[in-house]
Amino acid sequence: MSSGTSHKYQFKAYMLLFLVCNVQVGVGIFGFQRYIYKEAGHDAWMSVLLSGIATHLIVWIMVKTLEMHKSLDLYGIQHVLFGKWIGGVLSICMMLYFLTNMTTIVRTYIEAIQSWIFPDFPTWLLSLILLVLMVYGSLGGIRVILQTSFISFFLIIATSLFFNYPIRYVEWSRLLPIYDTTAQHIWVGAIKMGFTITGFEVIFMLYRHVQDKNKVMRYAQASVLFTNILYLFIMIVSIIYFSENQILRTIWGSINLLKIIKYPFLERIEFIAIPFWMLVVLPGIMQLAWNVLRGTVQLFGWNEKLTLYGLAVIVIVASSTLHNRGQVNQLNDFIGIYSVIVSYCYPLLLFALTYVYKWRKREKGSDAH
Amino acid sequence: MRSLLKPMFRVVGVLSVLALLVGCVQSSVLEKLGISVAIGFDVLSEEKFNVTSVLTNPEPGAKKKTKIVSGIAISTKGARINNNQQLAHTLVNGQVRVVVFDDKLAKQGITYIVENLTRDPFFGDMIFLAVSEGPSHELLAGSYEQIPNIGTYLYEMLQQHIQDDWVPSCTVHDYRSAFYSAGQDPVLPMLRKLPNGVEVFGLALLQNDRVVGTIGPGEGYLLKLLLGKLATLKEVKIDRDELRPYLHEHRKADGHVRVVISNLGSKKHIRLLSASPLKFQANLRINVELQEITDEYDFSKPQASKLLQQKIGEALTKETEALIKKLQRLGSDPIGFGEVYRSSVRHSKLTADKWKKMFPEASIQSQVEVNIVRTGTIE
Repeated sequence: MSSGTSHKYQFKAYMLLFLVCNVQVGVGIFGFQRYIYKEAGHDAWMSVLLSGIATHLIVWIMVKTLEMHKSLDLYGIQHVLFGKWIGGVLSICMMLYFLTNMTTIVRTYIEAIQSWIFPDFPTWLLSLILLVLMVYGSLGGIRVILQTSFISFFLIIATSLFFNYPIRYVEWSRLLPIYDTTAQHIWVGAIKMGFTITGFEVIFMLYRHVQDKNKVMRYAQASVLFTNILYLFIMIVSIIYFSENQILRTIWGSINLLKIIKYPFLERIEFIAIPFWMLVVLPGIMQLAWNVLRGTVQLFGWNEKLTLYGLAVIVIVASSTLHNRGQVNQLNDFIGIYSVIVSYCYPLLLFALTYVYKWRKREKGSDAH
Repeated sequence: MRSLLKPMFRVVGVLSVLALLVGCVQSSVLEKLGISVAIGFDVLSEEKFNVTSVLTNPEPGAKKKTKIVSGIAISTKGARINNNQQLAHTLVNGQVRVVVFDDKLAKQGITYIVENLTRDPFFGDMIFLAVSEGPSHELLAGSYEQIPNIGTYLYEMLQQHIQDDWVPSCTVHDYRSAFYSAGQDPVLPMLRKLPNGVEVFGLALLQNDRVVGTIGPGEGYLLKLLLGKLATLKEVKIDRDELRPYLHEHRKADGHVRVVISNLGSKKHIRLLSASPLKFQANLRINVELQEITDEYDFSKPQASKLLQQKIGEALTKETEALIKKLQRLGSDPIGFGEVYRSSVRHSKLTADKWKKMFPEASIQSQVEVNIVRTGTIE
């Protein structure tokens, strides 16, 4: 068994195109604009571009690290590099991260539903609906997740086509003068953008299940490129559509962009787009749950089904305890910092340690000869 | 038996879940809703205003198509409570098309009302805002023989003017976008009641969120072109003496010739010439079709058309200059010279207050170039 997993759980490398971007595009897309605009002003698109480039680099580093470890996933790599105990603690941290991430996504999505469509929709009920679907999908394994991601990929494309309508109301001069801020502001904006764009760390888990591993780099980069272009596009449309103080007051920038759309037979697209977005959110949380399951199976050898039920209950309870926007925002800020560390800094560390590890192994090997 | 029980268990489970989930969320039954299509705000005293809602009549079999309720309130949602008290159906705002403010309220400022409209997700961004001459209650509650639903009528009236006439787009989004921009001010259409109808007769110029002046349709036409949007018909007044060579002399000797042009496409070009002293150049290039000339003009000579387009251009330039002078005097910048300034000067850190002081001081040159493409089907 050279690939490390049975054939049933494997997929072709091009499927990464749908999987990776789906974790990246979740609920952050609803309102990321103003956080970056606050830092970088109308040059916010530069921050998006910068964080996009950084993401490409990190993905390159991730895949290189994985290639050196052959058929291990993140938990395996941590075990090899840090040993059983430290590696185990780090793996638990990762699992907690995925779990918190899931809760954040679920709760933020519910917040969007509640503030736009159904103000009196009970949180626990909506999270129950979401998580029942998640359990159902995740039990099917990575291939079911893959198929739902495939659907949501096209849903993302279809939704982004709607953004051509607000372009009728834009003021292109709002992009000018280019580079009106300082490099520092753009940099801070890029870090803020990192909050939104993270999620590509799932490559660490997915790699093991890819059949043709030599093509992973190509498709992982393509997927990240898709996300980057999407975010860049939405950021630019937002900058030219909203005026400078208007964008800062807009909590759900992307939803507000949809508000102006009016077809003779249909108005208020956002009331359709938000529920539809459930199909985009769902594969994302399915993948995160699947990531946690990989960890619990490898570390503790727990029963997958029971663990999944447990996870769902934890997320339902955790998301129901957040009662207002302030708490949701706090959770988002917290997970934001956490995720930048996990997806941008930690892979660098792993990459460096892997090199050291390989080097020492080679030294030892040559000593023995 | 076991194999039969399991699917049964599942079916029962699914059905019971479905049964439990039904009716969890507040439902909106169309027959039980009072659908508001237009709202009017009139100021009464310092705090209080009179709010009028126009509903598509929810009573089945009623003769009138609309129902009008009004009440006095201090807040916009208080008004909703008050208006709802007079209704047998729940008042909902998802179909509001037009919001009208009376001129007194518009002079005091309307942003907090617009902000609260935006806060509520059920109000769309494409709602039109307008200012009424006199109380909006009179405008909305008046009984018009030929207008079955005043709310949708106003909406369609504004829409057709925005699409191809002299009214610039006045949606909630346009208003907020201009209001929250450092270098631009909103502009809203003005409505008034006629004996048996309504009309849009001018534009209200705003400084921040307060109306400071009005302009008529002719000026509105130029304003819309300067905003880079399309407007169609315009009447231009030209001194008779200037066109003398090609006019038939048997008519009256002095006075003016009126020329009506139809715009086929225009380009605006506003440039910042220098930042200090503040200098702008606003150019308009219009391709027109001649629609009417109130005199016999000899187009057969090649120079005739050229002279006419030059004279039209001069007349429009004069009008544009007068319009911009007026805007500067009033301190309202709907054209967005401030935005031009902000986007051309690096690190300007322009704020609305700063621009309010700078704008009246700016020297703005304007130039309108007219190109007569054709003179209709005759010469």
